[in-house]
Formats: sequence, C-alpha cells, structure tokens
Amino acid sequence: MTSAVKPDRNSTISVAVVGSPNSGKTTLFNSLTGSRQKTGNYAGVTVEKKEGLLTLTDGRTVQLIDLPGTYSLEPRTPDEELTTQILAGVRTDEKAPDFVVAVSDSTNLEVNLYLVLQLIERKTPLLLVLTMSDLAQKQGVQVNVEKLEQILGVPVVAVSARKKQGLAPLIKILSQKIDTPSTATDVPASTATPRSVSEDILARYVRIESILKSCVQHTETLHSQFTRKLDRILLNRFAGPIILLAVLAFMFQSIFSFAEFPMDLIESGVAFTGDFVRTLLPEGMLQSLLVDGVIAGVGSVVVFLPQILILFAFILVLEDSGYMARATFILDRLMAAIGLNGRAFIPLLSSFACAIPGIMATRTIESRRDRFITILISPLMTCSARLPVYALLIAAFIPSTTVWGFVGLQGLVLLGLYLGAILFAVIVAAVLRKTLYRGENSKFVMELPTYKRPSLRNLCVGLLDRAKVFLKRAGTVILVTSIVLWVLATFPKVEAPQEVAMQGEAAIASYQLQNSYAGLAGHAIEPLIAPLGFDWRIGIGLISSFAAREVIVSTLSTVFAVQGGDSAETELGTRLAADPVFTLPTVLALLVFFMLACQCISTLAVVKRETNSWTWPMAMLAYMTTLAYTAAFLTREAAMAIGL
Amino acid sequence: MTALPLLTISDLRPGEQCRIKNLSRIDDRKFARRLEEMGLTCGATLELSHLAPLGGTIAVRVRSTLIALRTEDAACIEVERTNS
Repeated sequence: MTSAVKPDRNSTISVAVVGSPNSGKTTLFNSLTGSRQKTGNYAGVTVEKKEGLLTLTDGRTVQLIDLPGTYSLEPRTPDEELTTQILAGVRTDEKAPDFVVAVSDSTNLEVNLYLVLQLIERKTPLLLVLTMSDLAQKQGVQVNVEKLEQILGVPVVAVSARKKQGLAPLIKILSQKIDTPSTATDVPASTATPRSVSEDILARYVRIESILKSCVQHTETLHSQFTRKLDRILLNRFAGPIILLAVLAFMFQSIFSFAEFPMDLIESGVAFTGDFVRTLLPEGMLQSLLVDGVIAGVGSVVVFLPQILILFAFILVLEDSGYMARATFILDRLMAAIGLNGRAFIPLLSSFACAIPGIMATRTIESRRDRFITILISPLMTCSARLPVYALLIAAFIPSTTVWGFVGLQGLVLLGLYLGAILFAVIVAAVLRKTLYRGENSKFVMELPTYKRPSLRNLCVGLLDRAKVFLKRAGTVILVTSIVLWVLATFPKVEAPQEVAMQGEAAIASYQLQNSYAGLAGHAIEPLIAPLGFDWRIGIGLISSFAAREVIVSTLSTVFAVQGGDSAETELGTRLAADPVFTLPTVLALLVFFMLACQCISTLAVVKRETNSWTWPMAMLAYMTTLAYTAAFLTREAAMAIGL
Repeated sequence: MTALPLLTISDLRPGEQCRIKNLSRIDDRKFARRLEEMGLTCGATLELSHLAPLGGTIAVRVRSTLIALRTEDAACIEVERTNS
C-alpha cells in the first residue's frame, strides 16, 4: 500500500478532509480512498497522519488527507492544533491543502456547521459534504441543499458514505471545483467594533440558527428518537453499568475463546513451516538460524494477532456505533478516582491486549498530564504477551484444584495477577498525579454521538491498519531481536565434554547454551537476581524477554532443550516443575515480576515516539523494573515465610 | 417563585430544561470557550438528560447534541429556568 501513495508531495494536489468529531469524516475518507491509504506520523508531534489516494473524474489523482477532527479552529489538543496548523499552512512538513472537503453530519448540523463557518470566514477553498443523509431522511430531517449552497456560497453535496450514495457526484464536483475554487462571497463583514471571543462564537451560532431555519425542515426532533430511547436504557443508572459489564465480559471472553482456534492454527502453521524448512535445508547453522531463530521467534509474536484483532474489532465497533462514548461516560467517575477521565478508559482497555495500541490511543486525551499518566500506567495492564508466561507457570506449578467448592485455583491465580496489576496501576497513577504537573487540572467534555450501525468498511480498514502496525513490529523488532538472541545463544559453539555428551542431546544443548554469550550474560546478572530466587537460566529468559515478554517461554524451551512439537509447552512445564530452582515461592516471584516489569522494547520505542523524548521511556523502564523487583522479592519472602 | 441568586446546571433534575445564562464562573477560559464552541452559548436551551451511575458526570442536551460534563464544571454554569 505504501507504493500506492506517491512521495512527490509538491506536484500532487492535496485535499484535506476536515470535520468535527463524529461527523462521519473517517467513514467518508475510508469510502473515498478504500484501501489506498496509509498511516504515518507528522514530524515533531505525535499525531497520526492518514492519507490516501482518490482518482478524479478527469483521471487525475489527488492526495486526500484525513485531518484530526476538531470542533473549532481554536485548538485545545495537539490533534486539533495540527489540523489548524496544516490548514493555515504554517507547518514545514506539510503544505497547506489545495482544497478542503468539509464534513458535517446531516443529523447534527447545528454543532457541525460551526467549524464550517469558521473555515468559510477564513476564505478556505472548500466544498461541504453532508454525511449520513440517508439517516437524516429516516429521522425526518430534510436539508435543502441548493438553498444551503446559496447561503453559504460554497458547493454542498449530500452523501451517504455507508450506502455509497452521492459519492460519484461528490467526486465530480470536487473535480470541477479543485482548479477554480470559489471562496464564499457571503462572508459576514467583520464588525467595526472588536468583539470578544464569546460574542464571536455566539454570532456564529445565531447565524447557524438562521441558516437551519431556512434550509432544514424536520418533522421530528432533530436528535434521533432511537438514540433517546436507547440511552434511556443504556445510560440508565442501574441497567447501564450492568449492560456495560456484560459487554466487557463478553469482549474478554471472546478474546480468549474466539482467538483459540486461529491461534492454534498459527501455531501449527509456524510449526509446519519450521519442519518444512528443516527438510529443505541441510542440518547446520543456516537451518538452525531460520527454524529456531527466525521462524520460532517471529511465530511466537504473530500468534497474538488473533487476540489483538478481536480486541480491536470490539473497540472499533463500539466506537463506530457510539457506545464507546457511553462507556466513557459511565466509567468517567471511576477514572476520576485515579485522577484521570473517562477518555483514559479506552487506552487502558486496549492495553489489556497490547500496550502499544493502548499508548497510541492516548492521543485523544486532551490534558497533557492525564495523557502522560495514562501512558505510564498502560504497560502495567496485563497484555496478551504475558499470558503465555502465566499459562506456562500456572499450569506447571499451581494445582488445578478448586477452592471454596467452585473456583478453580489456577483461574484464581490468573485473576489475581490481573487485579494485582490494576491495583498497582491505581497506586502509580495516584503517585504520579501528586508529583507530575501538579498545577495542571484536567477538564472533561465529550459529545455523546447518536447511535449508528457500525460500518463494515470502517471495521476492515481499521483492522487492516492495526494488523499492519502489529506485524510491522513483529516483523522488524522481533525479527532482529530473534536473530540477535539466536546468535547470542548459539555462539561461541563449544564442544561438550565426554561426560556431558554421554547424557544425550538435551544435555549437550544445555551445556552449549550455558557456555554461549547468552549463558554468560545470564551468569553475569545472576548475583543481581539471586535475591528473587532466579538463576542464570531465568536470567537469560529475562534478557531475551525484553524483545517481547513471551519470548522467555521459547528461551526456556531452548535452555531446557525441549524438542519442538505439539506437546512442547507441557514438556517444558514438566521439566520446570522437576527443577530444584523452580520452587513455588520463586515461581510466584517470577509471576509477580512479569506482572509489573516493562519487559518490552517495542513499548519503550512507542513511548519515545509518543512523548517525543527519551525521558519518559527511561522513567517508565526505571519505575517498572524497580517496582517489579521489589514486589517479586517481597512475594518470595512472604511465600517462604508462610511455608509455601 | 423566589429567584435563586445562583442557579447552575448541577441544581437541575434529569429532564429539566433551562437557559444558559453565564459561563464566566469557569476559571479555565479555554475550556469555557470550548463549551461555547460545542453549543453551550449564553441563551441556548439546555436539558439535563442523564446522570452517570457513579455520579460526578452528567449529560446535557444542547442544540440537539448530547454532551457529557463533570458536575464540578456544571456547577460553574449559571442557568435560568424556562419551563416554570
């Protein structure tokens, strides 16, 4: 898809899509560009850049830019500021767009036209697109497009991006107007007496009211009756939280149960590929590098793709339908208790799949302080990369008995790890709130949009984007790390002495790893981790898990010379259980360490990018490692004290 | 009816309508401006629609848009009753 967007920015005509949040801007952008889009970042800021290609009726291709949604040209967040800057043409990395497609929701014109009026006042060459015209008609809202055109002095097109209605006329008008943009003629002359900002805002709304009076007929209330009725249930003080809880429970259940089959499929696919390559290549270094290093390493990360996609499918659908804003509303108080607002809910929730999308989702948080606190506690949420580690250790060491008659002990330990992490996140947030940007207070205001049927196209485009981001991470960071780790674990290749060689292949592999660079590094940090009961082998695992937490599982497999195959994990669990180092207190310490430690280079890289400084990732690494070490130490001591 | 000197959004009951009178008691001017830009201008009709289950947050309907606010900020927005 990268090749589809031409890099030559100066010669291509650029068209910016601008609109208020919830105006249907993204749906329109997705319908116009389809899969011919790519996401990137603007230099110096952390705002995501979305651009795509659109072919005009005359065959020319223009570059379409999806600018972050904003209610006005007086920015309050970094996202909104970027939109304002690009429109004003004051950014060095992005020229001012040649033309603007302003987007307003037909069913919510009163608020959406505000931004449009501001754009017209600034003489921006634009055409106005009224989205969701099918929905408006259903609600009894009749917009007189010709009259609106006349009053505003700009071309107006009614579309239904979801139903693909009006897109062809839109492209046609865009093709005509792009070369001879007619700026609005009927711009109210600025009054001689300078007005206050409030008076300016009021004047625009007075104008909007008069425009709507002459152009819009509605037989019902403008706001959807359906939304009102649904909100009576979904925002009910008693039913609302119960429904939300049910939705979240279903979501989490799905992440684990629906993902099981595709994950098994990927796992067997990886195993099959490994075996296939093994038969293709002669035994030796290259085969080992490809099979044990590259395929196994990348496979161990790619296996999380189903879980991440299922989580994002839920998030995208909830967001598209309008329910996510309700969830934010219901949970705002809960988030306020830790000094954040409801907006932090989505990023923190996403972090249960992976901290990376979670941290990227903090961009919608207006307050700088809230945003940094959310970023710093996101990696404490139990991401899916921790699950293989938990699964391995819990299955091998926690007896599958039931307590209190009906609760499985294994499940209880897993739940404890989830809740423990949340508890620590709450504490860390409270501490940060008392120390970080103490003067800054966060204000919260959010639109609760009307409910809409989620669009399949938005879902597909969104999932594709997430899959690309995730696989890119797996394909680069993890690939490199897998190769480096393979080298570290393979060289220098020492010959096992006779008495070791006699014990079989497993003993040779173990001996060789112990004497490899990785083994030496593990030995080197052993004194440091000895208080936690960890030995050099866990040390290797800890070092390798910096690539991604679950890598420790494959590293331990190598250390314990477990042969690949269907029962590899069970086999590893059995070996661990039989090992004198892996006592229950040590295993509990290891679980707590993984619950709290920032064993993830990708997360640190994303934090660097999002905060634009090395301070925050370093602070994150420092506080999480300290926390993990201390808590693991105390856990082990406590477990030994009560005789576990 | 005795005119209360300071009636704010937080004094309303769900379903009650009123007219926005004054936003100047909001300390954060940028925030006040954003509320105005989202339609909470002086003179606009407002209805208290929903209270969040855990309290602290409310949803008001202004210009046929539902907007969520914190009660502490709503307590700074002066209103006058219209349906009495």
